[in-house]
Amino acid sequence: MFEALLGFAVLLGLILLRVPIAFAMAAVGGIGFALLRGWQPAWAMTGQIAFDSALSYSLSVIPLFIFMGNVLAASGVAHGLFAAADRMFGRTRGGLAMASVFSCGGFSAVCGSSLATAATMSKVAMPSMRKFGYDDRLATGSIAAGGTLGILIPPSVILIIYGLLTETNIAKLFIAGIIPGILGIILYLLAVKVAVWMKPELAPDVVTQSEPMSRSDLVGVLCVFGLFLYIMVGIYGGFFTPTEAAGMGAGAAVLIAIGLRTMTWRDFLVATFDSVRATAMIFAVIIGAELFSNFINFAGLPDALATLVFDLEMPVWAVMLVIILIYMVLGCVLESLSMVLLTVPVFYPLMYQLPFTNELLLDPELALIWFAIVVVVVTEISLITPPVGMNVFVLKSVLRDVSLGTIFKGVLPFWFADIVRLTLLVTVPWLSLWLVTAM
Amino acid sequence: MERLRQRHRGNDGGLDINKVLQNTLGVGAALLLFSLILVTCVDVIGRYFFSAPLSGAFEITELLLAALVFAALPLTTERREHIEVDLINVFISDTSKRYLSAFAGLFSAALLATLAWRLASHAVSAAQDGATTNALGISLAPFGYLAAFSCLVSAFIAFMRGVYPPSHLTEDGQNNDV
Repeated sequence: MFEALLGFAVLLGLILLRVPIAFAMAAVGGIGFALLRGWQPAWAMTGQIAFDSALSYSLSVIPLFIFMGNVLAASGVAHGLFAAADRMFGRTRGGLAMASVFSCGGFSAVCGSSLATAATMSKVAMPSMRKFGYDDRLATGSIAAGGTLGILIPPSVILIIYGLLTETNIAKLFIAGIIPGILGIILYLLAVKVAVWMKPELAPDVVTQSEPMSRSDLVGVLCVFGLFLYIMVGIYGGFFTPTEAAGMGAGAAVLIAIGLRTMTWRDFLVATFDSVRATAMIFAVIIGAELFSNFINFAGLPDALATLVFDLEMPVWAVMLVIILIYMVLGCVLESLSMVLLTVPVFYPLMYQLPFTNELLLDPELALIWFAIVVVVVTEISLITPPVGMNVFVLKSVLRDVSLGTIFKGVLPFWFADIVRLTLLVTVPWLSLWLVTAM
Repeated sequence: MERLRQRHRGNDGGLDINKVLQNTLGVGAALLLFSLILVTCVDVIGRYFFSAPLSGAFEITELLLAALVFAALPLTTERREHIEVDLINVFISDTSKRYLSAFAGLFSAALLATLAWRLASHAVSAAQDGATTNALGISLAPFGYLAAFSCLVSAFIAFMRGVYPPSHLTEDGQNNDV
């Protein structure tokens, strides 16, 4: 237990010194394991884990879903989504911000990454909001927050990784994300309403005239909707597995992009190179986290934690509260993927053992699915929490002239909406599990 | 995102190996990615419409993925796209930033070199044992050598980047785009 905590402390120290998270985890994990078990087995394990982590069938979904999202972003379908959402909300105050949130949710349905969703939608929605005089805070906040839905609404890279870590059925995890995702959209829309009600200067007085949807916009919306349906029917109709869905989806995305003829050859190459580099980046984190978790497990942290919880006789709600608080704090300093990879192996065994009173959670599989949704929503919150809110950084990198402080201020109403959603999801497991049990 | 980066690229000194890497490993990784898509599509479509699934699709996918990851690693390292957390940069002087960047670079280089060594030794023993995949009997050793080579190249890049950080990266190292 002590060794594991010391390991975490050294890891955080290295991360603060700007060592890439992946390499910091690998070094602490490898050396920690060596100190506990000897150098010989540690050396053998390092080569084995580094190689085997990349040689994984299930993880092949990562480059494929990323590529799918990048190709769709380059194909311009996101513009259609925004135009359609604009028609729905355009006539209310703050309508464009609501349209941003709504179209982020739509793009999440074909994109498994929050950062990609935020990056894509910021290029589409920001120019319109600027043109009509929206305050930068509301404009950037709605996109940064809306983008977080990428990892909740299926497909989702984070849910896949959770499924692999805990051996939970990925198809069930995907379906569990739908209602919480819709709930997220609704609460974000309310957050926009409340924000412009409290501070009317955030959105312009003149009600914007929605621009007419062009034919290509309509086609874009149909493509996104069709692709989402194709993936869902494919998975739940038993035509392909969730793993194969990534390859089939990526193939379909390329066909859509070719069919729309809006993507240049250069855009396609950029999307491809971006995808392969992002893949290597993610796998570096995965390999590092594997090495680190190996050390943490060997040091006995998960067992020690379970014993501690039972010795203290903490009630279930208190345990969940502590876990969520730990996530919120870690979310301030860690990036989302490494946070999930580091913490889920430590906490998920508790889900088998906690004396839940809710009937649904008595089934360990359902408890794990519910916990997955809770983890993803906490991770979403960490994406917009200072100081290391990755989605905020993405917006900043696309919009150089807006300060980080402005975006973080803009995110605030959405952060509160997230806390409400988290509370609802934790206290009402039915929201996450209804579709799973109904299928 | 690409355009933004180019605008910030500017004078990289003589170290702009980005083009070289992109034209070799980058193109290779892209082809591997396309093959990955093709394998799944051929397998699924073959299975449903022609009752002829691709034999060994599972193993081919695994090997393609491993090759893709390691082929792309030097590219990611070169662009400094590994996730770093930037918390104390606001509070420290430019000189300290340079030292910090050098430390992070050397740390990364040392780790990647160690990984290269371990992967090479793993590959050597795989070659000696004649380790192959189960169904198709593809030898695993070449993939191990590829992984080791890629880590070694990445280590070299991380070292150079640590010692001679390009000017724009010390001001603003946040370069992530997943």
